[in-house]
Amino acid sequence: MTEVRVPLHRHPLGYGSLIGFGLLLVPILLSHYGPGDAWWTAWWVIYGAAAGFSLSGSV
Amino acid sequence: MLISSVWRGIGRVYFSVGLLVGGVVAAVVLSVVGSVALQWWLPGVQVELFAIVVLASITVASPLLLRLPYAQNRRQVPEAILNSGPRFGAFQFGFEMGTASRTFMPTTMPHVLLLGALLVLPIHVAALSGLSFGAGRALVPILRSYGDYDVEWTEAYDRSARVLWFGSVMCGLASLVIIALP
Repeated sequence: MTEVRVPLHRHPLGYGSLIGFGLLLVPILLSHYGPGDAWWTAWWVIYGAAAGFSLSGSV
Repeated sequence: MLISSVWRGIGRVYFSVGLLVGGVVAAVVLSVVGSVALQWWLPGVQVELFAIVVLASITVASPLLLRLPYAQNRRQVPEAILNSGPRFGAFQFGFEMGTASRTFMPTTMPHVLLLGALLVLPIHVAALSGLSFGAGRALVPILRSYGDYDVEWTEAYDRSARVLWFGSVMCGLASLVIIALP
């Protein structure tokens, strides 16, 4: 079966790793000082977008 | 770079919708499986702390720090899928990419999302995070349809590689310090 040939793409945000680390700080801080579930939900939504963005250059 | 017909005309819309739907379906399925098989016997608070440690561990093992083999289905969506037409073909193409079930993984962030949906997320939060996953995945291709920045982005990445590596290490250390604080 023929497959679309697409080179993997590197974007300047470094595979999302730096974003991932930055976002990691948020739940860690919130687990200590945070107001609760709403922030967790918001964090997971933001993290989901970042995870998708980190794959957006691949196929 | 995506050169297929999914980026022409109406196919672009169906492809993007497929990404969103694929992300939601994958996250909800994982959350349902997790809630049936795993979440009910895992105590909530410990699970969240455990999830944080898992998040940190997996993200540390990112391409910027270590080169580890990732769990991934290293297959591209077959071109033949486009024979289904500019609408359904593009939607199916986007759906399969949105589920991340048939793709290459240059990062570990989706694995973290997978574990989160499986271990800690209720269905509605999983659905929202899956939707945002599809939206995030669609962002660069949508921007690309208005211009080709591949060369510029790769050059910018190469210029910033050391800064990214240093920033990742510092954020990782900060995470550990914060976890260790009472």
